[in-house]
Amino acid sequence: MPESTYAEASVQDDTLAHYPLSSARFDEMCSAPGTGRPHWQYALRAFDALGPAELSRRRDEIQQVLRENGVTYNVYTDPQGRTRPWALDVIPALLTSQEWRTIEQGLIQRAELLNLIGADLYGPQQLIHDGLLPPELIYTHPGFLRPCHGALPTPTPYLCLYAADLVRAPDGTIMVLDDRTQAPSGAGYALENRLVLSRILPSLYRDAQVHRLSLFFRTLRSTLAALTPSHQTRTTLLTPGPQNETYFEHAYLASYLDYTLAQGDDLTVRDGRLWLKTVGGLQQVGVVVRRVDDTFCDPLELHRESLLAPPGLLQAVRNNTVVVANPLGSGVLENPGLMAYLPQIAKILLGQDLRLASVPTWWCGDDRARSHVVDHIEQMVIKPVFPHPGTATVHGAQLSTQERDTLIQHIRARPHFFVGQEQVALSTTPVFTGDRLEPRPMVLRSFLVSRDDGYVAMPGGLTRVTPDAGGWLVSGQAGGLSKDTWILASEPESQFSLIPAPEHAVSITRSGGEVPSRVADNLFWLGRYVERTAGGARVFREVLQRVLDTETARYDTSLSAFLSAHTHSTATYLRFIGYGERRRLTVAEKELFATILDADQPGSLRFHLNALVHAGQAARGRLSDDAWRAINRLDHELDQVRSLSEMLESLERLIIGLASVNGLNTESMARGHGFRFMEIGRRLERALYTLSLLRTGCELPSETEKVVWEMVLAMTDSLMTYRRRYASAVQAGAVLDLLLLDESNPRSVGYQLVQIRDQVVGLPRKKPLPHRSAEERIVLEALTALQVTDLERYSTSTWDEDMYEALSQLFAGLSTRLLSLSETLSRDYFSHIEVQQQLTATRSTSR
Amino acid sequence: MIRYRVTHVTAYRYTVSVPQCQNEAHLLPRATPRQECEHAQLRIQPSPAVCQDREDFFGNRATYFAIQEPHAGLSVTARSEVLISPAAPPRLQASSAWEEVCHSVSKDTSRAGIEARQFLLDSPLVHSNAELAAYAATSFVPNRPLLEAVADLVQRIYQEFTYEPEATTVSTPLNEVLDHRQGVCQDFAHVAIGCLRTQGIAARYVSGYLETAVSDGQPQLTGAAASHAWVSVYCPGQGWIDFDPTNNSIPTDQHITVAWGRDYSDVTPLKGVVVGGGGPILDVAVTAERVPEAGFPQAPE
Repeated sequence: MPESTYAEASVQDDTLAHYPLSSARFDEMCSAPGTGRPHWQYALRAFDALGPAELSRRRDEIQQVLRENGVTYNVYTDPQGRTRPWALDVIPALLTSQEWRTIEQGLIQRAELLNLIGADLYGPQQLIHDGLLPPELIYTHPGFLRPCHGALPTPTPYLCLYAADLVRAPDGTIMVLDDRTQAPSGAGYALENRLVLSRILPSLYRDAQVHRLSLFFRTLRSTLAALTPSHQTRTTLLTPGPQNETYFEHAYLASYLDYTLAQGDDLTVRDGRLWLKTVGGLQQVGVVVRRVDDTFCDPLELHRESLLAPPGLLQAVRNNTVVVANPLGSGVLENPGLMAYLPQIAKILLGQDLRLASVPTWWCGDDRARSHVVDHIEQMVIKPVFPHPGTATVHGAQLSTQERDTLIQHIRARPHFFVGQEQVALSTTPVFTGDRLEPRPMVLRSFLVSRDDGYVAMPGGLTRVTPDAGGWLVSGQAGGLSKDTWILASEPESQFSLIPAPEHAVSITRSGGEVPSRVADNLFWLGRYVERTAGGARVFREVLQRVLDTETARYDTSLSAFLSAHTHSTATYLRFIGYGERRRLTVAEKELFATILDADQPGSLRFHLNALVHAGQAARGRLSDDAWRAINRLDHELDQVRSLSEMLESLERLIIGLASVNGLNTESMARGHGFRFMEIGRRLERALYTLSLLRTGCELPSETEKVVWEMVLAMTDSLMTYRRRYASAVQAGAVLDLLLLDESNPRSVGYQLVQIRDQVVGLPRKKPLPHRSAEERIVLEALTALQVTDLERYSTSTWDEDMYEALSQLFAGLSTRLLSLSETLSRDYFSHIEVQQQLTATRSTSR
Repeated sequence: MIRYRVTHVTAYRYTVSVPQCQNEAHLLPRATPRQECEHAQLRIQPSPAVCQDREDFFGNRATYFAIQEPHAGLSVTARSEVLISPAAPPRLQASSAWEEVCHSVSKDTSRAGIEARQFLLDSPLVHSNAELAAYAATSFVPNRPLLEAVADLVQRIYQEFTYEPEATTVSTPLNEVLDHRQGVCQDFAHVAIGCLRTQGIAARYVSGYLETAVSDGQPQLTGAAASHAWVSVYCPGQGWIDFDPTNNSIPTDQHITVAWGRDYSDVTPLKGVVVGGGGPILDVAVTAERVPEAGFPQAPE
């Protein structure tokens, strides 16, 4: 390793003395037991100075920041279906800039070589005809997409993004383990790792002169901008959706790069062009940065069952009206079997040797290579050439004799489908375990982006280590830690002056782009769920306070009456009702717990909160960073509750937290259609909530009246307003006026309807209408019904049947109209994202 | 030269109006060494907003079209005139032993050889397996001339399988066809292709038409009012030789080729993605009629 620019001093202290080196592996930090490599000296001294306790504290801080930022990685096998927080080690991986320069040159050469191969395979296929690539290697690979051959315009360079997984062999050589050429993931995580670690270790980061990542992302932006066929079009990042393992990164990059995040059915192909469906109509898309595997990118011509991309995308690409990066079909270059042929191709096409070797790889489709793999299977890792369910990457040495024989049979039956790769003992890098450093095998994913004059590598990349010390497989699904990767500059950074400014000047605009229908839908529901959760929290807080209050007995009949009536009027059938109701209320504690925390129980608080967080994640790109963090904090609010009093505190915090989400949204979101849909959702839900409480109050027997109306006032946060106005006991008529009619009370139904009316007028229209829209008419009906209500007669202390009946009809009418407003909005603005597709095909049936 | 006039009508009726559909058709006949195509055209109703032709990976003519107005039905009519030079039937015994062909093709680096090698491999609908290999082995006895072995295989499929349109659908797996010994032409073609590939013989799927009726005394091929499918086998030196398992025949002058590929999925006559719409009702009609020389006056020079 070239380390000459660093002082040859070594740190001989506890840190290194207890660092268990393996003789079979190269260690990134230590050259020998107790001897740190020169480029680690500075960092080691810093870690010594911090000490284990402080490092632990900072490690916890990292996890907290990552959690608050909502950095997650979805694990497909997680039975909970919940996202896993991203894990980042407090110790960075270090490389010298001298060594990095060599690696970088090798990566650039490799990217250029893969470009030539990709363009050839989808063009003349000279490499096959000249015998440099066996036809079977290409034609059996599911990533070779025949519909992409020939007719597709080939962008130059072919690959916009390229990633390689790098490993270091015991002798110190860096080698490529895997090529990622279609939709490489990880660059966003690398950026987030950098942002977090530079904040956690600010002085070390500053003093170590670490190469920055921003040039990579700026180049990505300008490269994609240059691909755009027309400046009138927008760029979208195509994601498979929130269930995808790296969905966080899709949303994060879309937001960072300012692209619209889109799922397959947000897009449509018409007139041979690609369009984004927005609430204001169709918007043309010029560039798609895809995170969907290419075989799923067109249900018409590729994988027929796919819903992950719009049908006709390939034809739009053929028409050159949209550019997909990386190109459809580029997955063929991820075939590990290609590695066996790269050295020869490099000699022929580039006239050069490969600067960065691949891990020695044998493609079993070749007879001699297959014999070699079978004969040396114990030293091999056997991989399928294409990810395939049920075919895992396996390590020959870890198989039983019988498993090995079965594998060899499989290889002989389908030789084209397998490669053998030499089992490289991965180099180790230190991980902080809580009290000390421990070596863990690592893989570095590096990223390159094309520019008009070649490729730019991200200095560093995403380092991942195995979940345990003896591991050999590094993958996100298997768990494990990630690390920030620092390339230590030997001289001050000068890259800022090197950057050309190829991007077009920003033209001043007041619009944040049109809102995709899906995003509008999610914002609408975010608004609804914030209110629904807040409402639920207020109800449960009031109930809990009464349960905990020793003055009011647990048999408090008004409480039980309220709960069962409320359960009915909200149609959320919780466990308070039904058989054994009285007994259940005596064990209210347990039941309350379940009703609040059971995520599988529709109507429980946890259920609403999950829905809120889900809608927030899906609308991530439209929320301010602060609002997003506030939502993430909420997600963990109910996790640690063990007792009723803790529950009460948690509910208090939840109510305040929800208010801050509302406040941040109101204060930070531009007043476009996105805000409009969220606001309508909020107001609609709050009106429904207040109505449900009023309904409950009116349905209860009059002996409980006073207590129940007090509870209703408390649950709508209107007790103080009431007391200020009426220095008397609580009366139904007055409560009705305050919570139903009073348009100056931000908690009243009337106030919500006025707000909704004002928002609905501004909804986007496909064309100007001469009359009121369906939405406007519904709101006007509701508001008028409310405004013509005569409440005078309700000021008496006893009501007759007619009065109850009239109120009940009013409540029912208002609820019906609000729900109908919600349905109409869905139909007019959100529904086309749900249109089903069906596939047709004629077959040949002749005799 | 024999001149055929081909009309292939595909009509969908939907129970619910469809706002939009996109389709890919393989309906216009390609040129082959023995076939020329004239006046080929697609008539699509309602009129498509976009309609584009291209040549696909296998050299076939593919058409993309999109209809963007609400429609209750779709009809696609492909008309063409195809000129076929009748071929002399191949001499089955004159071909090399199938093992030799198998060996030489797998190493063949000529342009034709490399092209043929992709038809040795598994394809989306045809995966080699032991059952197919076992079925093929009866015909592929040692040292048998390739074409004789193929003809025998094709004859066995003809004899042992029953033509039964209700027995299979587009998505019936190949092994089910093999188990039940029932299906239609495209199933029989897939069985033959699968068997041949297990023996190391390059085989491709041919989509096309049969002559609807023959007047002058030759046997009439029945059930030809739909599109047809058969197989083609690569025989070094002779090129690609067609076999029709559904009719136990070697096509010479009554088979009109539209397209070929690894299997049906490469050359589906018409496939589409429809937005909304109820379950479609499909109607297909094909006529492929010989145009008598007399009835086709030459244009004055």
